Amino acid sequence: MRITFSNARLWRYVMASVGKFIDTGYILINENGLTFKAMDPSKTALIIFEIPKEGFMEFDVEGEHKLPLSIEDTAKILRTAEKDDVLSIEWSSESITFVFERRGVPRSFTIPLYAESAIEEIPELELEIPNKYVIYAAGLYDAINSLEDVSEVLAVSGDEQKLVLTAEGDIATAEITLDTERGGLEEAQVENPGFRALYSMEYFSYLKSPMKMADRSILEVDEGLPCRLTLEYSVGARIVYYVAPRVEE
Amino acid sequence: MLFRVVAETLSKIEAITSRTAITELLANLFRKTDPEVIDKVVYLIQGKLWPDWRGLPELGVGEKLLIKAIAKATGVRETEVESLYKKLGDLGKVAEALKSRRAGGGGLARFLSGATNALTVNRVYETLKRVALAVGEGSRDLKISLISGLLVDAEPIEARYIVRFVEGRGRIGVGDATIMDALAIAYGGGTAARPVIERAYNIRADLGEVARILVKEGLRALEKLTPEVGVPIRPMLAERLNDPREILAKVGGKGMVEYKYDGERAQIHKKGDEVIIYSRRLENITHQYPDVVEAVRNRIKSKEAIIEGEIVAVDPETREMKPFQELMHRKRKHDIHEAIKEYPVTVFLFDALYNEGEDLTTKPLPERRKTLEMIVEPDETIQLSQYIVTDDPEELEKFFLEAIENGAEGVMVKAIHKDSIYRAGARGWLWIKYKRDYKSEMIDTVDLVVIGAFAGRGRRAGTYGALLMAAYDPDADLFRSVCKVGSGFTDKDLAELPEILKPYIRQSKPRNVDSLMKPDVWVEPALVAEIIGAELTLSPMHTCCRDEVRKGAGISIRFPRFIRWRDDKGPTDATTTKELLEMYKSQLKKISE
Repeated sequence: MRITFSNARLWRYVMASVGKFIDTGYILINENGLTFKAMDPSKTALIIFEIPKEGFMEFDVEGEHKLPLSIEDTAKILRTAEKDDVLSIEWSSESITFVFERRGVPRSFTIPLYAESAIEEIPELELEIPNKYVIYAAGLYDAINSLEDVSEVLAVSGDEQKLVLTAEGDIATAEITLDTERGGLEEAQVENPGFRALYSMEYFSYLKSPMKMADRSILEVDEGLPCRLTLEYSVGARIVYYVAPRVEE
Repeated sequence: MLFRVVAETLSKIEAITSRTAITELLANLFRKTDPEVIDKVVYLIQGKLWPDWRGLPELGVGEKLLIKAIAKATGVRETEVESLYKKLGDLGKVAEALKSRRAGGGGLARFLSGATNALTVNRVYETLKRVALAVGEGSRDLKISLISGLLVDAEPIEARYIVRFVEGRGRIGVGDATIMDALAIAYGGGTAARPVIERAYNIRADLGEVARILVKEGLRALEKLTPEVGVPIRPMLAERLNDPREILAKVGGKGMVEYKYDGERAQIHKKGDEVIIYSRRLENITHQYPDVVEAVRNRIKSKEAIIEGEIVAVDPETREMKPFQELMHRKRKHDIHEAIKEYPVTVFLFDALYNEGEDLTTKPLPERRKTLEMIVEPDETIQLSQYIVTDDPEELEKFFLEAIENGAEGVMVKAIHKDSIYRAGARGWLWIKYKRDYKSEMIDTVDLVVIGAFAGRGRRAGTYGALLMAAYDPDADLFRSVCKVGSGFTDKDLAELPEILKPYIRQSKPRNVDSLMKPDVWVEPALVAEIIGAELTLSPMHTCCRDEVRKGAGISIRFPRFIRWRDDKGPTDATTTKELLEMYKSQLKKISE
């Protein structure tokens, strides 16, 4: 069985980002497509990377397959992915092979898979989050890039017109407002205006590269709830990323 | 098994001081422990993840990282953790306090369907193991994440002990002895089983493993336990005495008197081509001695063996022993192959504890030595320790002085009777060390006269390898021997030696020379050289001030080095025997240990 994806670089950035704070995860492949799931050991963040069957150039899959792997090793291999590389994935019950191909020259890397029992099952997370913001392409990336050095905490607040991202540090306070009027926000659906949610900044810093590559970002937040960040890419691929709230006042 | 049970026991132990009560609490904990994790519980109580000798990494989490992990797990800012730490002075208590304040913990756990939170011993142990083994890029964040993941799911009391364990403050004053007592009570039927457990621990220095065998296979299995190649045996230790007569009496009248080499004690395990070297403290020091590893592979005939010896630094040219400090160069991690050339070593083997499936620890010393001699093919790097067997205190004393002069620390006197078994981990009178009480440090150089020369070997073939040096005794008009010097010469010095000595070479001992040592060629006293050494010492081999400090011994120089020729001095201008005696006396200092 083999699947082929046109943009190897997207895989490279996703795995490099996840590898910064999670060491193991698993890929689920079935007739509908591929899902990669990983949760950081402190259970603060959960990442799901999905590509529907239609997003692949080639999708030769029968049944369901769970491939538990080392993210560090996978990231190391994917680091060699270049622009224009096409990525194919083949697997057995013991190993997974990544094949990069450019100008007709395939480069193949195989790593062993973990035993299924060695990796904890990641439970489902179903949440109704009342406030939803759709942000233009790299808007979230730019905001995090500016705020990350100011504070270890990211405060998110907003109403129907705007989304305010704040970092309050010991020596400075930084604030970035994205609004619908000036075009920073594409859309806002807010049921609980005036909310203020707190998250650890580092979990947003980890995902900067995939944020930068996204076509658009959807941030769902509310006070005391995990946030759900959805990053959408061409060919239907997307990242769904949950970050637990901080509970300080 | 829930980690909470361990944490609660540790908390109770912390509140009491009575050893009996602590042992009882531990025994209760062991009774409640699932046999599958008994080893892990023992390690956690020991405050470690595995025995040190495994050479595996430590947790590598400093205070700063730990503060980050606590902040992350409890959802507070690091500054809050820090200020609470200032107030409480114990990060374990900080984590406990913050967890008590924020019941339920942070993280996504409470939003996930079907997530179970209770911490098991296995999860705590395996997670901490992952923390220790995480290395390389990104490992810092991963370590924080892993610890914080445990703290998220921990009860306040569990958080206290997880944090203390990571901090390296896991030990709560419970020593191995108490753990063994508790194991004996819980699984051995009482304290009578304690010696069996202790012996097992001494021949398999892994208390977790010993506990696992005891709990899963019973006391009988421990009784039958034999050494295992790869697992260190706790070394047998010696008592100390300074009177040859008393020493011999203690070992049964007659004993094996062996050089006590001034080096690093090494327990060498060989299994096929695999060789591991453990230090006296059971640390894996294999990487420091690739040359010894290679020699063991080639020169120990057995497929499987555990042998003991002392690794000693030697002069690269003369192979004479050098002081212990020289081995420090082997501690550096880089350029070990360079260090091998500059600071070569010889391992002097003195015992065999296991050979081809046979446990030798229960055999008397002469039998062990016989086995050792059978399996070793000595070469430059591997040699057998020098020894004599004697019942004569004077002979012992003479051998002792000779050992010191040759660079050893003194001698080991070992019992050779039928009960002279290898008592792993024990200090007793079967082995007695005899070291000097005093030493006379050499703080100034002396000018000595060449009275003989020894032919060179190896790189020095064709020239001379060492010179026999003497001090001048004006009263008798004699040159009396002091030392044999082979170190300190440059290549140029060595190349020139035959030419320099040629006019003075004599076939027989010159009439004005007094020496017990016989060089390869005698030299007419004419040439003076400046010499320095580590100390002035007593020697049965030399005639300078013989019988003046101690009967049967003269004054000599330990670790002598050639500095330069003193062409400006004639032989009678050399340092006199009287001056050496004064130097010896004035520098004499008690050795404190």
